[in-house]
Amino acid sequence: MFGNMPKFFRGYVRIRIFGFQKEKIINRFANNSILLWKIVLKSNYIEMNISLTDFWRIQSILRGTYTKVKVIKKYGLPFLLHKYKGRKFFVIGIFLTLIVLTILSSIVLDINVYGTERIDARKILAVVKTAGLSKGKPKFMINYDNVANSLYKEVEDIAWLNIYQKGTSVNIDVVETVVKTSGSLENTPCNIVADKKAVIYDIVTLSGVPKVKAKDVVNEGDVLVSGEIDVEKDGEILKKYVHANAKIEGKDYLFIKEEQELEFSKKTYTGEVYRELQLNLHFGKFDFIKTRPKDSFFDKKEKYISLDPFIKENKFGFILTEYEEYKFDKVTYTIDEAKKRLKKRIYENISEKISDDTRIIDVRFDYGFKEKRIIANGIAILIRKIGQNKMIENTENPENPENPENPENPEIHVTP
Amino acid sequence: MESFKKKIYGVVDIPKETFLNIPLATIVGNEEIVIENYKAVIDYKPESIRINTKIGQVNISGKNMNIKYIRKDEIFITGVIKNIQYGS
Repeated sequence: MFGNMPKFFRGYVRIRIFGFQKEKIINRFANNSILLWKIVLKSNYIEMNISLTDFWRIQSILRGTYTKVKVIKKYGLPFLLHKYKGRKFFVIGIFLTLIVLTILSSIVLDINVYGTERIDARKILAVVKTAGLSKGKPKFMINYDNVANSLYKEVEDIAWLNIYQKGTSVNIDVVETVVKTSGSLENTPCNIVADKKAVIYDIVTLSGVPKVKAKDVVNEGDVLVSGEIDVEKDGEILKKYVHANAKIEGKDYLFIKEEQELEFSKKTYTGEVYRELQLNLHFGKFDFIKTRPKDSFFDKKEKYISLDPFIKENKFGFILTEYEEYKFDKVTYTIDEAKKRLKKRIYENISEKISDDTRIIDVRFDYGFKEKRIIANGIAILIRKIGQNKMIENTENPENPENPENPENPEIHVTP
Repeated sequence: MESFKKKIYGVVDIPKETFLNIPLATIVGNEEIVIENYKAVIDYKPESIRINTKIGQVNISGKNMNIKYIRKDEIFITGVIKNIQYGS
């Protein structure tokens, strides 16, 4: 198909030559360096394709051969241009279409980010935008090296990235760095220290020396389990460092204060919906249809009809807004109803504030009245995991400084 | 002169068809044949095409034979080729 493109641009004709010396005609053309193709032989004529420039030469070549030439069909751009010479606006339209197509295909219409799990794709899009890669920008104006450098600089956790064009889209393939897992810290000597003030509820030590027991009060930073162990070897006491590991639960308190109004306003929809239409241009908004009454309350729902397919922010287009009217009705709770709502809210708030591994063992609160409000004051007693690992800084071990858990020393006596 | 050319050809390492201007035929299966360095088309029929070359006539016979294109030094023939005969 594309092999015929040069012929199409130059133009060619299909001719029929009537005569008896067909071979002679072919040989004459060939000797005059005229290219002939799709030659079809019939009993009294011969058909062939010939380029437009060669066509003007055949009259002199065929002189004396007693042949007649007939043009059957004309192909190519010169004939098309000649045909549409009188239809100026049609030709202008074709050229304009070609120009619009060229412009549209030379700008970036979409940016896709692939391979992100921890990194927010929106952050990557924000960085590439500041580096000069954004929707609607011509492809030739984008410096991809600059974009890649900005991403490496601004976004952490990128191990490797590839930015490439695919049609009018720019795709960014990202490979994230590998997260340093806690498994790599398993052999690091460390203590367990309290991360919050608490009362020890239970402690089970798996490795290390426990420094606290149940019912002890600990402050933030207190060592709960030590990774430093005294080891006896050949009558000599040596220091040994291990990665302290223990299950420690602490008793914690959460103070509660909640209020409930006895009288309140309830939102009730009237059922009236008002629809309005606005024209949104880059420099301002214009109301087309405005129906809603003043001094009323409404819930607003906006629907955008963009006139610019390349800008998703809808700065240019129509806005269809639905206003759902509502009013406020005064409602009064009974004391029992108010207490029930207050209690429900207290438990919801406690559940929101505590983590999944925390247990609630008791919730106590008292009700009080102030003006038209019920106030609840109380306390929730929680059991939660406490303690966090903290590395031991000076772990000079004369025996084996590299590996604190040396399997060559099997006799370890833990001194509680 | 011709024997002199052949002697030179024996010494230098260049393609024979370029130096001696003899025909070079490239056959693709039994459907296409390209002949370079031909002289003229002597006979052209759907069942046989006879071509004159420097070493004599080449007769290509078959079915539905057709000249796909022809230029000064190259002819491309398509169809079902059954026989190629030299010097007939």
